[in-house]
Amino acid sequence: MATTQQQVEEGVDTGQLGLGEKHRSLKADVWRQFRRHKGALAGLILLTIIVIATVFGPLLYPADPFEIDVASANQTPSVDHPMGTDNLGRDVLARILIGGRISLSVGFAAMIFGVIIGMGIGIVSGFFRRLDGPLMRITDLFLALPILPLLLVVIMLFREPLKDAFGPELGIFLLVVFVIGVTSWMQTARVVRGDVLAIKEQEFVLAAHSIGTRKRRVMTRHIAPNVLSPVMVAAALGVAVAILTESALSFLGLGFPADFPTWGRLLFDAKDYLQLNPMRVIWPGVMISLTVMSVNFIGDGIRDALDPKLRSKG
Amino acid sequence: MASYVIRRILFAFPTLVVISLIIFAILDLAPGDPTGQLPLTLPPEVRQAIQDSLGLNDPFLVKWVKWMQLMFINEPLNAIDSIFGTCIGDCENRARIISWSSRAPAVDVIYQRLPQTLWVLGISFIFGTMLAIPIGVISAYKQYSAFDNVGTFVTMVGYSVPTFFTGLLAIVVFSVWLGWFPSFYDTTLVVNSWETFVAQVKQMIMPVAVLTLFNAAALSRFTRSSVLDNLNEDYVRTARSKGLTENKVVTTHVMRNSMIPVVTLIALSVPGIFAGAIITEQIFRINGLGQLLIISIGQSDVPMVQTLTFIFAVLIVIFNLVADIMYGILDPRIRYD
Repeated sequence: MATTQQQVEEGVDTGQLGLGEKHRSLKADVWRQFRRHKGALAGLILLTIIVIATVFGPLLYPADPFEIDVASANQTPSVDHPMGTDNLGRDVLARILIGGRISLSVGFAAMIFGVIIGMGIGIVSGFFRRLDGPLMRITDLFLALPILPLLLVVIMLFREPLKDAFGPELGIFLLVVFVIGVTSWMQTARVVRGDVLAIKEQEFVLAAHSIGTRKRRVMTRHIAPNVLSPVMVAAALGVAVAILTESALSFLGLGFPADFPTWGRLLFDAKDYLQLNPMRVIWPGVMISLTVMSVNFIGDGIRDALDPKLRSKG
Repeated sequence: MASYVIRRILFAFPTLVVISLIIFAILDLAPGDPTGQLPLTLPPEVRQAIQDSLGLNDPFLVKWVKWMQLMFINEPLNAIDSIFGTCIGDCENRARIISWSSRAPAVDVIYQRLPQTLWVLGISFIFGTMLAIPIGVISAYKQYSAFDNVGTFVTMVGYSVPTFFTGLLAIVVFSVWLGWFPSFYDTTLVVNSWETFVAQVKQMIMPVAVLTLFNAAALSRFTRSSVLDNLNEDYVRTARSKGLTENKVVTTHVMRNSMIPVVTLIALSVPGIFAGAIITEQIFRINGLGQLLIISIGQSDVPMVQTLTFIFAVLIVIFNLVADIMYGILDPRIRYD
């Protein structure tokens, strides 16, 4: 996807566009460079394991995350309960697995939402000179907003109406994804705008204009694919930011309700039992940290892999 | 330079006005009503009178302008009066923004809590910068050395592990297991002797360390990549070829140019630093602005939340302004556009 332009250029050079000859394609080059980044590769493997575990784990692991068993409360890790139990005797591992589903889906959904807004604003602002000024002022303004206080306020105010409209889980999910997405698009927009400004002066865009391509089509067909590489880096970092923000909101008691154990919520619930059962704090914290770290490493890897200066060295 | 600074300051005001509109609109558009908590037996006309006295039934723009008058004119005047002991205009009966829950002027409550937040935040920011810049520069200068590899990994960990986890981890290790530091911030402690000073330092170590780690990690990553970009520039080769010492090349030529993007990134990360402070205050129970915000949100104390969020916005804009001015000092080209 990100490779369209360079592939086209290569194709023009050698005159074999789309014939699938065995030349070194850009995609393969990028992938080779990405694999060379040990941290990124480790991050990719770790993230895959975490995603698989949270998707399939709850189906395979027998313990019920919601079953209350006060007789076996606050246990330390054992064979029956590999991560121990919480203050109501619920199995912590089962809750971590099910919580990961919500945390990860919030992370990815909010990232996609934020990236779409950021890309849209970035492309429009780079493409239309008249809209550039106002849109960039709006971006600057969003960057100066006290994001976390505003998120807290918005969630406090709109939690009940959305809960009534969509049910407790979906309502909060939509609200959290929406507020994180709306407040995290600015970096993407700035980077994309910069790239669009450079790309729109290139010959292939001129060519597209000259054969009468409509503006909207030039933007979606010719410009958007070529800004995908910075967007991919922004997307990786966006997942990290979204997971962290969701956990922070839950940790402050303003995220998901207690029945929906996200990792942040588990940490929030565990912090009152710090003296009694310190391990309960460690598990969700380690999960958040590992996920965010692997996503950040992947982002670093993508950035290095897409940097032609670094790639040509290899 | 002076005109550049003035331009920047003038630009900050419209930003603040628009931010105040956003904050005000969010709180105003929200469903809910402060008289909703009152008993249902209250006669409708009394409820109406209470709503009118709070100005709840005014049109949106009227409410906003009234609030702006309180925030931008009355509160600053009051601050000037209380600092210099003057009395500008009708200072006895000047309207203030009153908190719904404590019935005290919101700004007075905030003023009591501001020092705690600024102390913890300021110290950790200074420590973070002092740690991050040398680490970033050395990492970049000795790229792929052992120092760089360890440094890159450690900063990545520090950058990825959220403050609410490092904070709790610090409490588990240093308070629960080792018992070195108190787990909660004693807000009644008055520093008036050596012992109380030691106690104050002890209770500040963990929150400051947690925030320092967070700030330093992000900053040293930025510094490293920025220095790396600059080390391959032509001007560095020129500086070396005219016989400057390596020390001089790095500290005066590379550093100064590398700091330009770093300053921008510091400015951009200020909201994140404040968010970190809110969470840290919540973990260590520091009676700062973040804790006040959480409490006020819990109590649906709209004037307090509005004022606090706005104060955060003011602090962010001020930090951005400082960063802009630093930017102008570091990069002379910026001043003339």
